Amino acid sequence: MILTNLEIVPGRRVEKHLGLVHGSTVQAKHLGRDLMASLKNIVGGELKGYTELLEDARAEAVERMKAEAGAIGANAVVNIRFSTASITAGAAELLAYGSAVILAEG
Amino acid sequence: MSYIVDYYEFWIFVWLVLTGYVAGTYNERRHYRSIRRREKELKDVLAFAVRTLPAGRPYESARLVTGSAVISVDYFKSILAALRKVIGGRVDAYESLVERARREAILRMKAHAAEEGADMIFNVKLETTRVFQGERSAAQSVESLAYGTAVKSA
Amino acid sequence: MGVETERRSLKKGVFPTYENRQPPEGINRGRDRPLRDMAVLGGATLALIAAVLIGVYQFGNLLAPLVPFAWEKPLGDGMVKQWAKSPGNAETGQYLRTLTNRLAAVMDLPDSMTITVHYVHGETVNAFATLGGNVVVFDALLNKLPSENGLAMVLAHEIAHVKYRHVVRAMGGGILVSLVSSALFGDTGFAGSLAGGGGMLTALHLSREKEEQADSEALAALMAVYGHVNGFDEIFRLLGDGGGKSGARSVPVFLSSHPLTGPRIRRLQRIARDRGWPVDGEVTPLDP
Repeated sequence: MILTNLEIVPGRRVEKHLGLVHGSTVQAKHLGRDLMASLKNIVGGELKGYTELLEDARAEAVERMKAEAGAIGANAVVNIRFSTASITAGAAELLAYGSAVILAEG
Repeated sequence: MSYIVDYYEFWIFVWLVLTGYVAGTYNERRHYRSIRRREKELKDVLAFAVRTLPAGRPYESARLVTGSAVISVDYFKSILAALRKVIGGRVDAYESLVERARREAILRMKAHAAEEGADMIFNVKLETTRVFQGERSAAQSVESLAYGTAVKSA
Repeated sequence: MGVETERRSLKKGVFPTYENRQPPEGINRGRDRPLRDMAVLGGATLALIAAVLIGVYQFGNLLAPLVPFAWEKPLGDGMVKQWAKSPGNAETGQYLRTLTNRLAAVMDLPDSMTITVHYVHGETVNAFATLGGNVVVFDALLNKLPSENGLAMVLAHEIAHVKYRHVVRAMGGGILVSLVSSALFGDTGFAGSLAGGGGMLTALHLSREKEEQADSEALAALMAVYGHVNGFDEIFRLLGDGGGKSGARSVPVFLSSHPLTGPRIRRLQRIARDRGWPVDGEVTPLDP
């Protein structure tokens, strides 16, 4: 599965446009991490725990988008975009979406 | 007996959770049925995330179309999510919530395009927003927005 | 480059086709088993809260004995004010103080520690110790006890609680627990009332170990004052059968948080036998 946020895949011809596919997941941080984060808020700097959490969740969203694209017979997703939204205090939605296409062989 | 009276707050809570579960499950199933039915009805309006229009065809019009939906969580799910936040991890309870909101928003965008007489939507973008942030007691709900440019081939 | 590719395709007469295929259901939804999740998460959360509160309680337990007795005193004096409003017979009160001093003298209390006994009118067959070395004895208890030796056992038991700072330990834990729980759940609400309701004074629950420690200490004091331990079981027998029957108003609070009566008596008998303390001897009648 080729993933890109270009309009096209260089050197490959799009045979079929299959439409919108997306993957999304809602992820919550846990109390322990919250505690560490509030301590970190005093001195500033990167919240490694949160970065990891969101990265893992985004990877999950991409997996789900790939699953959708694979299920409808696509071999690439183009023009991919990410978006993160807070759903409730302490939980965020990670969204990945793009256009599923079938690329011609070669 | 006095136990029940003493802890009436607890029993109100139990009642809310049960009502939330029964009514929430019923509403969700009904909503999914409605979504599936309308997705079939609107299957001829095509949506793509790519920006470029199919080459070599003339177009009569290009117009921005949007669709959005605000879906609220039920009491049962909000408790489930609150518990999940203690331990962390994936909040299954909210995933169906955002999925319903998104599919509903895409459907409304397609319906909007169909009204305009268009049959294809390009450069579709999706967005999710929490509404009513801040206050703890405020209803938990998410808005999903879908928008793109609908074109009508000549 | 996209345009190039498109142009080349156009030249060749190959156009991409456009269609929408509906992806299958369920990819963007997690496991759909809300009831199971509720049970697992609810259970885990309750366990976590319990663990935190127990930890906090133990922490309070550890820290509390470091509080100097002198700080504890004004707190305890304030607490017993409400009981002092309805004092019992003054002469009996004096008699109780004398008895308390005799017991305290043999119990090896730290220098800074003083015991203040309050004889009050009340229908509860009970006596309890609270902060600052304050011991409250209800007249209903004296009316029921057969001998001075039985009364001495009760007093010595409460003095032992003061000596080992059981009360301040339990309260230190309790206060910390209610502080933490009100921070976690807010002051109002069901959880708050449950967690914060673990009351003060009479409702104070001491652990079994602390009760047994106080029992042993009291038995030794009885031996030291009277030369025998006869009458040590009077309070247990009184609360074991008599106390409960005389109506709901005189529920033996003394007993409610304590180990079971039978095993308690047997345990003390065993201690007396092991140390060669006589369990028979002449009991002193109650003075008033």
